[in-house]
Amino acid sequence: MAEKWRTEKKRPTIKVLPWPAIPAPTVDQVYAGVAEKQKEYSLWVESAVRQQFNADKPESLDGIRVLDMTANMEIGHWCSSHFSELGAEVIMVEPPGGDPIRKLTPFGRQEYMFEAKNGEKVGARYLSEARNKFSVTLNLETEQGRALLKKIIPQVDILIENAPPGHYDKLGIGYRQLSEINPRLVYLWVGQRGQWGPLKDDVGNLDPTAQCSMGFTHGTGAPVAFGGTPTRSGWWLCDHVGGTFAAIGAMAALYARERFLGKGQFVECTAAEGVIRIIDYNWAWQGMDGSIRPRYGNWDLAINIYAVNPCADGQIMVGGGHDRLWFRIWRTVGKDKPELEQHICEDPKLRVVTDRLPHYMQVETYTTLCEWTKDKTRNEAETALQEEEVASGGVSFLDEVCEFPHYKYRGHIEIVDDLNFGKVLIGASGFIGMNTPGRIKWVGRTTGQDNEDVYRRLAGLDREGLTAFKKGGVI
Amino acid sequence: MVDKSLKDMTFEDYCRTVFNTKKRFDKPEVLKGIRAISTTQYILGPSCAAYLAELGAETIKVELPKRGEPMRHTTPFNEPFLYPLSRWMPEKGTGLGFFGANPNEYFLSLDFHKPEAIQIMKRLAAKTDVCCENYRAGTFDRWGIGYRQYAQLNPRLIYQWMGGFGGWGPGRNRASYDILGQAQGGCFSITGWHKEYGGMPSKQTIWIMDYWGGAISAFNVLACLYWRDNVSGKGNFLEYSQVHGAQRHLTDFISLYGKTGIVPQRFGNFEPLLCVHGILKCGKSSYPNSKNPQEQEVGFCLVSAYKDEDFQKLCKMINRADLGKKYPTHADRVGADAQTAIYPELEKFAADKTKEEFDKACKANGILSQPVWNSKEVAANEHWHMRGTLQWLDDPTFGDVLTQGPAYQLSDTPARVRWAFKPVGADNEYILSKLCGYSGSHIAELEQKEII
Amino acid sequence: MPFKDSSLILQCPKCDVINYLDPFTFWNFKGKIKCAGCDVVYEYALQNGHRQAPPKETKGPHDKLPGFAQTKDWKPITTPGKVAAAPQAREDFQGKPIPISKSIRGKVVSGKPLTAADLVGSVPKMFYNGF
Repeated sequence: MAEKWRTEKKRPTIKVLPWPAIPAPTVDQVYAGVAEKQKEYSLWVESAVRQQFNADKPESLDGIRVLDMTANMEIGHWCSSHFSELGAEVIMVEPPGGDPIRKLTPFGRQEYMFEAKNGEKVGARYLSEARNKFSVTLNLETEQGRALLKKIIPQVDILIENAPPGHYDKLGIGYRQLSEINPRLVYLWVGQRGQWGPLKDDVGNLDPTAQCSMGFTHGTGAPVAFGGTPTRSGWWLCDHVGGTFAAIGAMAALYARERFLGKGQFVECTAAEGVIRIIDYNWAWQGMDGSIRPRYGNWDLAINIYAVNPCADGQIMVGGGHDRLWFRIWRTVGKDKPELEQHICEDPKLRVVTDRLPHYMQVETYTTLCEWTKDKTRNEAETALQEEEVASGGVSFLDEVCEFPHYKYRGHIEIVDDLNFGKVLIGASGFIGMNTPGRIKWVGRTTGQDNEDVYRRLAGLDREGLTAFKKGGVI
Repeated sequence: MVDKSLKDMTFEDYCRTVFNTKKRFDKPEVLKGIRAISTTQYILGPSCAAYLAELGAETIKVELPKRGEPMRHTTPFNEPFLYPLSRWMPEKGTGLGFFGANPNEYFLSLDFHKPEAIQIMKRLAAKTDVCCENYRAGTFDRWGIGYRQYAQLNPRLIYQWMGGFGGWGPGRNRASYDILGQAQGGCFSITGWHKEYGGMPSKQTIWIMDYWGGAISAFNVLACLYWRDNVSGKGNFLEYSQVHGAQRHLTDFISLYGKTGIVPQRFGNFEPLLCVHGILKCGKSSYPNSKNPQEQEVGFCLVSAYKDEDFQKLCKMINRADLGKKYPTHADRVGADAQTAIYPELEKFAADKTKEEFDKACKANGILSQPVWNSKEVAANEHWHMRGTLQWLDDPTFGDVLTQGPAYQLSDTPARVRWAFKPVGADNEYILSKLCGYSGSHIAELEQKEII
Repeated sequence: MPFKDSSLILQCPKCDVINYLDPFTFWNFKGKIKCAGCDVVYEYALQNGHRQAPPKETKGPHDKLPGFAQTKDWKPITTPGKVAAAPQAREDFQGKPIPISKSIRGKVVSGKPLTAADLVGSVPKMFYNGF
């Protein structure tokens, strides 16, 4: 534990730069000097998928209605973002007063929150996954609240919830009961480790609960020999991965319903299991010889060269998984330091791709590589390696990410001019496509902003009913 | 509609019945009759096709003859391999880096540089629903087997291109890997400890940008299949850029940067948004007598007590009621100064405990906690096996392997694992005779000419 | 002595053994390193990967061992006590393909090299025929 951390009281003032601080490159600049034949394909793809044409195109999930009834958890919001980006009508059903995640802000700093026109303050974590979604409030702990939900259910395609295991079933709004009302309903439960099975009662709401329980944290960070400890991801990684798999599950159920099944089904996905699915070879390795995956810092157990190592002004990633790239990397190094290239390339231990994988071979490789990168800035190393078409890139911090010309040009980062929150810089939809691209229309709603619209439209409530429910704490 | 006999069960029994992993093969597959070609390598592209194969799509993986794709030659520390690599190279094996990204697929070997191979690809594309590809942008177009050519043959085709920087824009010629996405997208910069704590930017240990990128691409493919079959009848061209995916995870930090200009730094195992919600070092190893260095390490445990009443319980548990008085509300606790003052006190309490002892103490006091498990502890846990997330698979080629199952559960049309993967070119005859109409002697000739 | 002036690669002036000072541990370092070849201890300092002075022979216990070492004709030195320990997934770590015929629960798995005679098509005979 370090004592050197600067305290909250001595925080420096930060100058906010406009975005983009440096204008994005223009089409002419990007393709300057490229032969017609070479740029023909790029120009075709660009004309097919460029986001500025999004509004002219249809949306693949237009007409699908999703109720996102998750609160206090990231995984459900992340999951429903997939549907809202592709055009589904996603309605967030929040407890009266709003989802507690709305209020989360780094270190509790109020000045980091986004203020809506009506004065409500919302944290960035919530706002990032409220894109294109509507917001209603509903108290499902009341009899009337549940009756109101049941009224809406016949018109819903997908319902997402994250109540404690069996809680909604006990309340009479679980899949068993709601499928009686709407057999075509796809009912998705999301959580950290599952609503059934021996671990179901060990609830935990937020990452890194899942990260710790499935081996991710144990395997991330530097090994003990290098002074490292288990490390969690800086973002709620399991929630994100689990949320994406949950979306695949729900989408598969929806497709099956339309294709042949004719009815909905019960779907479940958890944050931990999402990452268990994708954590490489951990299980096969354990099953073959009892190995426990060790931490390996910023190097890779199974590929060499494929690592992030220090350089003159930060850290640089260099990757070359197969022979062709291996020799290109050393050729680049050899331009400055031929003795390094020669000693590595003549090493009989490093002739075959797989022979380069044992730990001591990796030490030899990366120490030699760092002997070269120590004199190079990220930019210099990147440029030199790219001349040989080797994949490399510096470790970027957020300001560099936001100003990265490629992102700016392609619209990966964009400003959304929101009705409530004004201009917000945001990461764009990951769905890029020719006919049905994903898009962001607004960043978020204030708590219960769409109560009147949704309850009038879907439940036929009138002014009197709405007022009564509001007074009774139902909505 | 729920069966009558299921109505009266307890919820737990109900779930165990409808999600019963032993009954997965009794139920239909979502993508039965959907065909996908996977001309992919490494992890990003293959995993996208694999998620479709788990759902029942007939997925044909096309890779180069002889050595197969590069991922077959990666394995942790050069130790475990599964044999044979192919019928032509039985003495070589496939490394476990290939594992997990290619289940349920059919394996065709094909040298794209030969004109006969282009003919085969076109015959396949004419009867295919989805094509996943992750060669350098424009390469397949140049070879005459890109989306523009396929669309002439099969306008209903959904073509998912995946890769580093995308086919257009300033970085279009740059190659990419998973960790390049993580590095360039900013994921490194917020993971690990700050350098003032002796830390440095750290990678997420798994090939997350590849596997997750494959997942989000597979979702987009499913959405396009839905749109094609129910709405428009049209195919689609989709592009997924890996570096884009990386910064999609950091959306909230991007918004914060835009508003306040702050560049988020690393806060290690603590959580800037919540306190107490962090991973603590426990002083003792859980397996002091084990010979495995991984088990000799001291333990770590997550403790989560950010609600006021939970925090008070936690302070009582460590006999520091004064902390409870000093930091009564969440706003008092969550500041950086408060967090760096609170966690060392908790670690003092944990200094003479194993992670299990600390976990037990928390649970006894009604506080949420989770020990940091290693892959052996996870693999031994009945929970994951019961849910089919981990399973021992009797693989037809490789025998008894422990594999991951599908990440999600579907009650009526579950995804499933049929086999882990197959050797290079294992299904050449099956695919070429079934889908391309080639005779036995023609296939033998192709093999002799090293086209397959 | 091709690495006479290198920073992270410390070639011992006495025995010519090449000591690799991995960037994990040595990027910023000041202290004593023991040569894996001749056990001579050197005073050495690195800042951002750049050495501050040539290695100076000294006495006394070392602070760190090099991450790896080899002779100039590529003979590796990996003896414990000479170079730093490797991160290990198991106690019996080998760093080369190990033949495995049984999984940890004792069932047959195809984890060792085969010959053409062991195969039926692409499938190992033992699984094709049943066993």
